[in-house]
Formats: sequence, C-alpha cells, structure tokens
Amino acid sequence: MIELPTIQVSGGTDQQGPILGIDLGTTNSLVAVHDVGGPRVLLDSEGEAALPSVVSFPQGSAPVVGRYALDRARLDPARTVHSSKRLIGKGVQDLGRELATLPYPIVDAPGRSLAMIDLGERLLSPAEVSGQILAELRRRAAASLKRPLEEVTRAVITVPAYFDDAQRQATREAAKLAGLEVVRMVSEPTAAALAYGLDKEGAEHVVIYDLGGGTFDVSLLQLKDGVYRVLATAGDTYLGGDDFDRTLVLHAAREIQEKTGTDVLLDPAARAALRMAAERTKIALSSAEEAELVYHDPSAGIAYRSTVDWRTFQQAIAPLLQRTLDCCTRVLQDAGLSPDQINEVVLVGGSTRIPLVKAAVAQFFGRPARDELNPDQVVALGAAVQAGVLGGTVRDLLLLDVTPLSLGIETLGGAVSKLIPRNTAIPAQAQEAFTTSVDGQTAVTLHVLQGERELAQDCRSLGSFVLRGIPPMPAGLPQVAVRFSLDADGMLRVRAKEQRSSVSSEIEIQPKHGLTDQEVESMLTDAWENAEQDLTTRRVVDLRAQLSTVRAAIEKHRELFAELEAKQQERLVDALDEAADAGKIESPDRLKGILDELEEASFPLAERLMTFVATEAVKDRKVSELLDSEKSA
Amino acid sequence: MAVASPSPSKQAAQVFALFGFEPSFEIDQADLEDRLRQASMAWHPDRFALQGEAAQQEAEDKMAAFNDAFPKLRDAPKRAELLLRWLGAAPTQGTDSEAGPEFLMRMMELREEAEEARASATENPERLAQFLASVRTHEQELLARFGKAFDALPDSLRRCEAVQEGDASLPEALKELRRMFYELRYYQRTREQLQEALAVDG
Repeated sequence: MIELPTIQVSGGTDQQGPILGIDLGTTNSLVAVHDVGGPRVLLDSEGEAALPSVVSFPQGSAPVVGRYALDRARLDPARTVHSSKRLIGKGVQDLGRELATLPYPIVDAPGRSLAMIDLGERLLSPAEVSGQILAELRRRAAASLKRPLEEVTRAVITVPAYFDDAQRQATREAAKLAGLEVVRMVSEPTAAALAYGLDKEGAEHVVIYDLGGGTFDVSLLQLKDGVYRVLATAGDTYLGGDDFDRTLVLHAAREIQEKTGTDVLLDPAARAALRMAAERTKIALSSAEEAELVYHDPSAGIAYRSTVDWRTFQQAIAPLLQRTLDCCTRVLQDAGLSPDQINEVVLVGGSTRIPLVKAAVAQFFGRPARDELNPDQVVALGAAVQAGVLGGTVRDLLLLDVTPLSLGIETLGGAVSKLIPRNTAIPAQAQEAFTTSVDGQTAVTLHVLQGERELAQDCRSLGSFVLRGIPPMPAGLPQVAVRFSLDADGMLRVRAKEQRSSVSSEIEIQPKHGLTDQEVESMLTDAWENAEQDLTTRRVVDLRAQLSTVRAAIEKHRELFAELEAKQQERLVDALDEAADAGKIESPDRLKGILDELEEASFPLAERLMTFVATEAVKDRKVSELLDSEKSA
Repeated sequence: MAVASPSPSKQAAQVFALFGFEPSFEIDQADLEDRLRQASMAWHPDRFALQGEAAQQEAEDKMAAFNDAFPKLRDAPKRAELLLRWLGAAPTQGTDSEAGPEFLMRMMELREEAEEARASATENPERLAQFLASVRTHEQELLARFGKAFDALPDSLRRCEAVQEGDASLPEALKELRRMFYELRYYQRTREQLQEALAVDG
C-alpha cells in the first residue's frame, strides 16, 4: 500500500549524550530529560525547577542569570534584561508600545531591522540574552545528570506555535551561542499535549490553551494511535501575563502620580520594582478575592499601598481575555469543528492559574478545562518526551505539526501570492512559476513574506533575494520556478530556478532580522572567554551597594523619626544598626535578610514622608521641585 | 513547469497512488486518515533525527509529498479537480469559455442574492443563514452528481493515457463533468467570499 523506508528506524545511542527538553519561556525557563522513568524536570543545586529568564550584565564582569539577576533588576535596571523572548527576532519598529515599558534603550543593529539592547559600551542582541539562559540550563543539566558539559550538546527547544520564521531563526542562534544543537523546535502547546498523553484516554479532539508570560497560543489537535496531529493553530506573540501586570502597573502609577506628583514610570529602577510588585499582586489575586499592591521605594520616599479586588482586575484584563477567545474561535473555524466536538481542553502557562482565565475558557468550550499537570512545567516535560521520540527511546508517539502563518512571494503591484497557506502540515514543499514584466529583463527580485494579509506591506518581510543571469527574453516568456521548503522545525528555505536557462539561486531565510554568521561566531568566542563567574562575590557586592543606598535615603530623614510610634522607631533604628555592619557580613542570604528588614521597617517612615510631601505641595511648592531638591541634597 | 516533469494526468494519478488508492471519487475519510498516520510513522523526519543529513532530507521530501497530497484527497472539491486532471480535462482558471448563457444567468442571480443577503445581514440574519444553507446544499448536490457521473464514465475514457491533452478533442462526457466542477467552484467561491465579507463587516 504505502511505500515504507528501506532504512530501518533505529534508536539513538547514548554515546552522543542526552537530548535535553528545554522550555525557553518569557518569564521562566526549564530543562527536562526523558529517561527510564519517563520525563522529569531537572532541578538546580537549590532544588528549584524554574530559572527566571532574566540576565544581568554587570559592567566589566560576567553575566548573571536567573534569581540573582532578578535581584539586580532594581540595582542595575538598565543592564538587567527580562522578557528577551519578546524582543527576539524583531526589529525596533515591530515593538511598538513595548518599547516605552522597558528599562533599557532599544536600537536597531546598524543597517538592519534587528532590535538590540543598548548597554552603552556595546549593543546586546536578545539572542545573546536567551543564549545565556540556555547556557545556564545546559550547565544545570550537566551537573544534574553528572555528565561533563561537552557531552550535553543537543536539545529540543520549544517555541510559541505562533513564532514566525525570524523568531525561530533567532532562537536557533541563541542555542548555538549556548553550545547547543537544536535537534527539533517544537511548538509549546503541542509539547504540552504530549506531556498529558491524552491519546491513551481516548480523547479525539483536544484544544491546548497556552497563556504564558508574554505569548498566547491555542492549538487544536486530533489524537489517534499515538499520532498527535495538529489541525489548526492561532495565537498572539504579544499577549500574556506581562500584559496583565502592565494593567496593574499603569493603575498604580496613575494613583502614585495623583498623590505625589511623581511619575514613577520615568525611573527604570522604580518601573522594574513596580512591575515585580504588580506581579505579586496578580498571583495573590489567584487565590483571594482581593489583594494588596504594595510598592515601597525608600530612596525616592514613596510608600504606596492599594487594594485591588478581582472585579477591578477582571475589568482590566477583559479585553485581553477576549483576544484569546477570538483566537479559539479561529482555530475551530480553521479545523471545521464546533466547541461541542472538543473532547478535552488543557490549560498551559502560568497565567492560566488566574481563576478568571480558567472560567472564561471553561465557559467558551462548555466544559471544565484540565490543569492537573503543573502549568509551569508541562511544556518542558513535553519537550523531553519529544526528545525521547527523536532519540528513539519513545517509539509509539509522533507529533505532526503545522505552520502557523502563510508564506508567499510579493507579486507585481505589491500583492502576495501565497505558496504555503497557514495550518499546512509540515514539512511542506510548494512550487509556483513567476515570469518577467519587462522585455529583456535579466534579473528577478523575490521578496519572501509571512502573514495573512493580502498586501505585501502588511505582511512580515522575511527577506529578499535576486535571481540573476536570466538570458534576455520578451516579457512573460521566462519561467521562474520558486520552490519553498518548510522543514519539520517550521523553518523556510527558498530556491528559484529559471526553467528555460536553468539559472538557479537559493537562500536560507536569514538576513533581515537575524545575526550574521560572523556575529554569531564572535559572540561565541566572547561568551566562552568569561564563562567562569563567582556568583556569590557578585551578589555580596550588589547587596551591600543596595543596602548603602537605602540606608542613606533613610538617614536623610532622621528628623522625621520622632513622629513615628515608639515601636516603629525602635525597629527602624535596629534595622539601620544592623545595616551599618554590612561590610563585615559575607553571606548573601544574611545580607538579603537585612535589606528586606530595613525596607520593611522603613515603610512607616515613607508613609510619613509622603504626607509631609503632600502638605508641602499645598504650600504652593511644586512637588517635582521638592523631590528634585531632596534628591540632590 | 511542464518541462521534463510528468504530465498533469500522471501527476494526479501519483497523488492517489502515494496513499495506495486507485483514482476514485469515493474515498473513506477514516481510512485516508489512517493511511496518513501510517505514512507519518514511517516517514516523518522525527523518525530519522539521528541518521544524518541524507536520510533527513529524504524523509523531509517524502513527508512533504504526503502532506501535500492529503488535503487534495480529503476535500471533495479538490478531489474532483484532481480527477479532472487525471482524465486530461484539467480545469482552467476562468470558467467563461465553456459556460453557456443559461449557466451565466444563474451565476449572476446567485451573485445578486449573495449581495442582498450581505446587505441585509444585520436586520435579517435568518435570510442570510438560509441563503448560506441553500448554497451549501447545492454544493453537496453538485458533488454527489459529480461522483455519479464520474462512476458512470466508460472505461475507454478512464484510461487517461488515451485522452489527448487539450480541449478540442475532449469527449462530451468529460466536458460535462468539468462544467459541473465549474458550477461547484462558483458556488463555493460565492459562499466563501460572502463569509469573508461578513467577517470584515463584523
């Protein structure tokens, strides 16, 4: 019936080392492996599974990744990069209003539409940031599996289903910078489906609703006989928990400005701190009717406390939720199914912990959604299952994915001729013939586009290339066959050939939003030259610096201590005394404890200070002047 | 593109053969899906991930061919078009050349009805729903007729090698089959355009 391969499929040997399953997330990243016991997430030396996707680049020393980088967000916001996944594979013009909320300046790389973080002394590419995160996960995996680092070189990396070609390319570059070969890129929702193993439960049509920190994806799969076939996928690479946080940040910033006249959003450090405070509030709202949003900045003299109830939160996030449901409608339409034909709905991504999100999804599909696997870990576990499939240890499973976005070529007049429509199963190949429009034309420019819109200018440009050397012929006579090959990673290769003369040309889509090969090479060298790092020393230095800033800010207002209640005053003085000894303390955890206590103890003082500022303002002095004079004092 | 590649008729036959089918209008959907799963288990590049570039490339090409053929066999209108190609009666882009005045008249009426249904979509949603349903029913009827007419073709016409490419010598039975396809395509396009327009209207 169907022709079978002559080569027998054989399992990979372990001699090449393990294949890691990596979830490179917007907020957190994880690494998992598949071994005899099934898939499992690997923990760091302190027993943590999630690595915060944050990298700090201290001036003159090695980058810091994860929780310690998170600590540095407030101290060194302009050099501490979070959510690099939202920047990867994009140009500055793609970022829009995202730009205004970032604590560091973003510029395009010279001559290209490739967003880079401006560190002052050099430009940092988002792929480098992601590369640092991947390198950290690789080190963790080597330590956990007790393997030398050189043997840990291969990975399955998950990407949002809705990632375009440029974003996938950039993710591949990031892996290369971390010394990892990407054996397969898998979309996050499909990975999650694999982790759940719903085929064994007899579910036929399954929807995966994946709302992460920065991206939203929804995929509809058909499950049968171990084959997971994606029927349709839709999503939004600019929609996630970060956006929920942002609504809270804007709300708090507005209130703070009304009270004090200060726009905290102008200060990168304050912005970073407020963002983290808003995230805590959001998480608290998942299990309570209302939660406090507490933001305290001793050095700026701001103490803000406000109660957010879930109704306010609901109103704030309703438009965002509706956008996710519109995507659900689209996948159903594309697959030709109605909500009642869906057997299971699975929730993935930290943001699906929000009860409002759960309720909205359950209502849309008319059934409770499944969430029994940890939504933070399920994608990494699925990536490990796929690594098992590729390594040959998992034999009875197969994932058939689709391309999320249509691919085409610009034609005369700026229209797009689509060669591969969205939701086409991958790998896919398509060919179409084009011709010349001018007599004697010897070269044709091919502009490759990705997107659903009818006009080239509204689609994402993946790059252009020129087919030269066509013998002069009357217009319309040459036959230029353009061939698109989309591989199992969803990456595009384009070939063109003039049929009458056999002139041919080929490109891997890369130049427009990606790094050049030389850039990748030079970054590889840089990355390994300063690989060894003394994290503890770094942290101690950071915490001492932070302590001294906070201490100085409090000491400035000694005259207000008398207005505090006796207990409050005592606590604050004790905390200051402890902080004064920071120079003798070597333990970072102990220093962190002292810092936390000092911030906590100074809260009443900051509240006093705000009342004081407000009173002064009434006395006809501008708030900004007052604050300026305080800062310079 | 015809340079040095198999004739459209042979290419169409290959699409069926890839899945182990003879050219036929009736294809069992569940069976087709099973065959896709079977082919994928055998040929998907994931099965060759650690076996070097050549094996990877072969798997990629092979799987892409299955992925390309699958929707052509699954969707009845695409299958009808494929059969016409196989019979040497490949449809052209425009339909006007073979459309009689009666056919054109009906198509104009259909277009007018679609426009009216769209214009009154807000105040009269039942009318719109009714119109869409009637178009769908008509598409189904046309497909059923196409299937019957295809099955009724004499063996001499099914031996596609016998048919000359080109329209002049095309037997009337095949022309009739192709007219049915044009009509089907017209109904389908009218419905899809109406649905797109409604989506834009919001």
